[in-house]
Amino acid sequence: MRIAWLFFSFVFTHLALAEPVRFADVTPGHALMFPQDHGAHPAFRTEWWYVTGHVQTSSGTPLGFQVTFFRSRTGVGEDSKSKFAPQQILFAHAAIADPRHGKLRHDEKVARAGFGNHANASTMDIVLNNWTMKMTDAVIATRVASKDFSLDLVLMPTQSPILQGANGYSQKGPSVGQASYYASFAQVNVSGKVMVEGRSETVTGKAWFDHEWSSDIMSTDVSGWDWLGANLDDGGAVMAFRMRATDGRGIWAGGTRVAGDGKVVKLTPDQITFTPIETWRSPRTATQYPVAMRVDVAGETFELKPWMNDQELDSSRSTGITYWEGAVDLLRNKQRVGRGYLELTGYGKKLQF
Amino acid sequence: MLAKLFLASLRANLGRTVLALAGIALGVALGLAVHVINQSAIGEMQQAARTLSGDADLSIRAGRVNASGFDENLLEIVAANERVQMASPVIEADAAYRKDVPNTSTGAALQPMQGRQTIKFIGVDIFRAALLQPGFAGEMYPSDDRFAMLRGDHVLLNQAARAVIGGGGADENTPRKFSVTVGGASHSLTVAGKAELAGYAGPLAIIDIAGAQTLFNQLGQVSRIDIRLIPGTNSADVARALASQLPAGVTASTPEQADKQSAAVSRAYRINLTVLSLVALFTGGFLVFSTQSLSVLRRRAQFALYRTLGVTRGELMRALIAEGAVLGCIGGIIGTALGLWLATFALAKFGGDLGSGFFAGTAPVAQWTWPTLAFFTSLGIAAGVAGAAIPARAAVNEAPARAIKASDGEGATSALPPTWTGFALIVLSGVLLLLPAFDDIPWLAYLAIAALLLGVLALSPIASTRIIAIIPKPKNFIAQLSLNHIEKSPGPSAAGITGVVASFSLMIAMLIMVVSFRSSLEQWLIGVLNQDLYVRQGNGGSGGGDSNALNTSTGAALQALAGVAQADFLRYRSIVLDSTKPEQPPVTLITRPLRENVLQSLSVLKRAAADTNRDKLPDIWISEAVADLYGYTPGQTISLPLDGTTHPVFVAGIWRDYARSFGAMVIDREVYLKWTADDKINDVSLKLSTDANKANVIAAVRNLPIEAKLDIADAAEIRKFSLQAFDRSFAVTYALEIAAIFVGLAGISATFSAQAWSRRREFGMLRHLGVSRREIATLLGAEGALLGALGAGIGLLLGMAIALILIFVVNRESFHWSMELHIPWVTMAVLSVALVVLTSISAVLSGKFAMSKQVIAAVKEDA
Repeated sequence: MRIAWLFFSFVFTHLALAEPVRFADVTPGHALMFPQDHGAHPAFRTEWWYVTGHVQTSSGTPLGFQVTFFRSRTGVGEDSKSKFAPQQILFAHAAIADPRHGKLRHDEKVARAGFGNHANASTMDIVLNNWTMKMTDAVIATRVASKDFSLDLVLMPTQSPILQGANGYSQKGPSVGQASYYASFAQVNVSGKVMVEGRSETVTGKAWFDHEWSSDIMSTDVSGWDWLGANLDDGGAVMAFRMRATDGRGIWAGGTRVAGDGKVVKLTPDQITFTPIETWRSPRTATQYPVAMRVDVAGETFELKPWMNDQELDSSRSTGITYWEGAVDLLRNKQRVGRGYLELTGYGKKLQF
Repeated sequence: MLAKLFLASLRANLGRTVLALAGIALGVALGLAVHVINQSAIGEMQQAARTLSGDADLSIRAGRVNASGFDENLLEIVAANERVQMASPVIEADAAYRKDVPNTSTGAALQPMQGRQTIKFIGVDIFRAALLQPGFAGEMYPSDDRFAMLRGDHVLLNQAARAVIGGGGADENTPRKFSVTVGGASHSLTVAGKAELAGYAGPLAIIDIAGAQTLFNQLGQVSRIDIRLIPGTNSADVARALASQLPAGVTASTPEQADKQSAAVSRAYRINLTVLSLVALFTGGFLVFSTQSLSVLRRRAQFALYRTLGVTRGELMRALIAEGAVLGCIGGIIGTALGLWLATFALAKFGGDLGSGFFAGTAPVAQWTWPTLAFFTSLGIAAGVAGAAIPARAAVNEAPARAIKASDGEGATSALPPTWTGFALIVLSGVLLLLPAFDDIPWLAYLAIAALLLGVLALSPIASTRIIAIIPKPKNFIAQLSLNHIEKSPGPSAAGITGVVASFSLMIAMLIMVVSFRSSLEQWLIGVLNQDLYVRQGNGGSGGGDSNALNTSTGAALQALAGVAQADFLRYRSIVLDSTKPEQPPVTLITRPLRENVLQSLSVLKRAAADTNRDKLPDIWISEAVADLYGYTPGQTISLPLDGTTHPVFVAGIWRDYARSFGAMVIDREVYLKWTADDKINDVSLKLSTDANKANVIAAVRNLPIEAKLDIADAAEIRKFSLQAFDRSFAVTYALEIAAIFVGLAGISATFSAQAWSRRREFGMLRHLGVSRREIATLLGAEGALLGALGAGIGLLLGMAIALILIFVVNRESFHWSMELHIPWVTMAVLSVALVVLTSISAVLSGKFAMSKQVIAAVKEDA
């Protein structure tokens, strides 16, 4: 469930009136085909490839990381004969959660597709300036480099993709059509190198991988959402999200619980609750985030404990939205049972676009 | 003590001192003003260019700003270089603002001219460009359309551009529409916000690069790629590394090199003008010389007394030179202040262009540095010291015993440099002329002119004496007296004459040069403009470029008009011939149908020998500048870089081009079209059929069903405008010349007033002998006329010699074009007569003292 959604949904509400562009529809019953569906779907409005994970460096330091590539069909310049026509824009965010540092190190990129920057439609192959994400023989490699940090990781899925919702058709709201195509990899093995403050170390760990694309407009009464994606220590996994209205009430929810033995259970909206336990106020934006939550999924209770409170991410240069995306431990009866990433959006002052 | 005495002397001769001061001040002021105006204009241009490239460490260009660009795919190659942090492609082009005129019957014909103003468009990929120039992101007007800035028809405007399109007011912060004309068509654009770039003052629009490519019909091309390197990278290294990946004619240059290139375009012109502006200072130096010579002569007895009282030669010398230095310093400081004021005033009132058109449209703020001011002030001091040095030497070398008894004005020949120095300087001048130019500026030729001038000036007193000696003695007593005086006291007379000779000879030299240039230009224009009508897109300018080119259908429509016998299509491209010299401005490639009658119109100076083996290569005709700057000769095969490929071409000959001093080359349009898909047209020349009515054809062109605003001119009109532009560019020259002449005349007047004082006993005696005041006035007038005639004679000869240097060396080396010598005899005669009359009048006026009653009393002075 991802941040870009909110951004684009509002933008395109108005755009749709001005630009008679036909975006591809998300329809139930469409069968996803891999590996080509790991590639980009430029006919759709919005798409992202999202990796969140937890690694340990060779010297034993635990680090959380996030690497995201977004693709957006702007509807602008569709008739242009220029190779620079900004029909497709690529964004990327990367962040490292280092509890020693106390806040996120993050960076972002934005570019129009073309002249070396692309999101390939036949296979997962994304290049944005010098940031890349590429799948070769079912293994994903990603590299991002920033002034303060760089990541050079190999992501090896250990299970076949989880098709979220109904065979990858993931309902996002009460109305039909408010949906996305959504596939995830849980329990992805991570290895590679992380450079922080000029020191490069080899790392190993586990990650969660999401790939989601859609065209539809979310209902305008949605003010934000909470999302969790986590790998459990027993080999299982859990993904849960809820859409919140302006008054904080949940409008819609969804998720998947994968048991340790690989059995997949799809969650219905009424099987999911998010309950804030503790809030943290950002000194930069004065936004209150429920950084610790209790999540109930189909009778199970997980307590989410953030690695650090300040995991707020300021993406004002690209998407223009500030949100909280943080590494968390999943506790059950005070015992750690897994690790995941929690995403909290729409907690700021009424979002200004 | 000594200092006090000497300063007292400056005060005692206040009138002359003030005059000398004014001469120096004027010279310094003019020099500084011209320098500051040019520097400010160029500074503004460079600042603007740098602003548009932001923090770029390197820029990749093909030719000049506004020229056609290069293949956009180079971006990917450049961006892939690991030392490149960001590569930002840019389209830079001008578009004419199209005022949507209400269709009223009265004003409709005039309106398009009034509404025409150019807006510079910068097309960028904001995601890339923002890193180099954050200002491009601007400030969007409130809108629901978040992607407004990506739309090809949305722009951000700066303040100046908003002023051009008008409107605004209460709606200032809401999107609104306006239209521009590009490539013959009108395009509607929406103002989506504002972008102010400190450092860029002209009207500016920021647009998405895809929109810019479409708007300016440059699909597949970019004008420039600005590159930001990884911090700590040596940009020269990367430029070298990239060079191998760049197609022919495309160069990577640092901002310093780009600055150099933009400065190179006007460098020769600026140096020329600055040298010229210093002529007034040169004459100012002579004014000091004449003032000091006379003042030294008058104080001979005084100095002799000092010497006998124990003042050493060195002390006396230093004191006298200090006098000159003080004069020069005060003059220099006043001149510097005046020059700064003049520059500021001129910049505010007239902008940065002194008529050359190099800096047209710039409105810079005066930019100066303390070292510059110090330099120009020190030029004033140098003029003062130089002017005082020769008289000081003379005073010091005189034996005190003789001087203490001498009356004023006698034995003054020693104040002049020995004859051999004059000859030596003239020989030196000849040697300097034989040496080749370096640094692309005729420094040695300027030195040669200075040496020739000084040499002739050193010889002119001797020459005057000799000339007067051969004049038969007139019967008239007064005339005899005047001849005698000049022959017998060459020193003081020379002091007066040098200033006149210097300024008059330079004026004559400039006159001959300008007249020769103008006549040659006129003949050239008649040859070049041998068709009846010329059509181009409004706001075309002469630089060519793509943004205001016409398409072939417009060309065909013109060809098809009734009354048009033949339409020739011309296309101009900017070409970098030698990519190892990124600071060398590009050459203009002119493509046009090359028939024999076209070649005649080109005024070909030299052709390849008929029997040269040309391997069936296409002909290229190069201008003199190309031949000079690149060393090409007729009969040679050269490679022409075009859109990334090089084509071998045969240099068929050299032609004269007064329009582009950095070179132009002509090839046949058919050949060009075989090489490239670029069929755009910058100019169309129309030959009318014999029975056609010009007015009807013009009307038909205006009524063509195209949106383009076409400029139509007939050959005579263009000739007229070109010559007007020429005169405008020399207007400042004329003004500087007149200033120099006035300083020269001030010298004459100073000489006569000083002599009148020193000859008070002579005049007193004459009065006692019964010579009337009127007759003394006549005497002075005759002496003045005689000196004026001598000055004019020597000045004419010297001026002609200098003119030859200017025409055949300075101009050739500065601007790389030749011209034919045309001597304006009548004008020169009129000026000479005017000079004689003026010197005569100034002699009479400054000798008023000589006619006063005091003169009669002065006889008793010594008694």
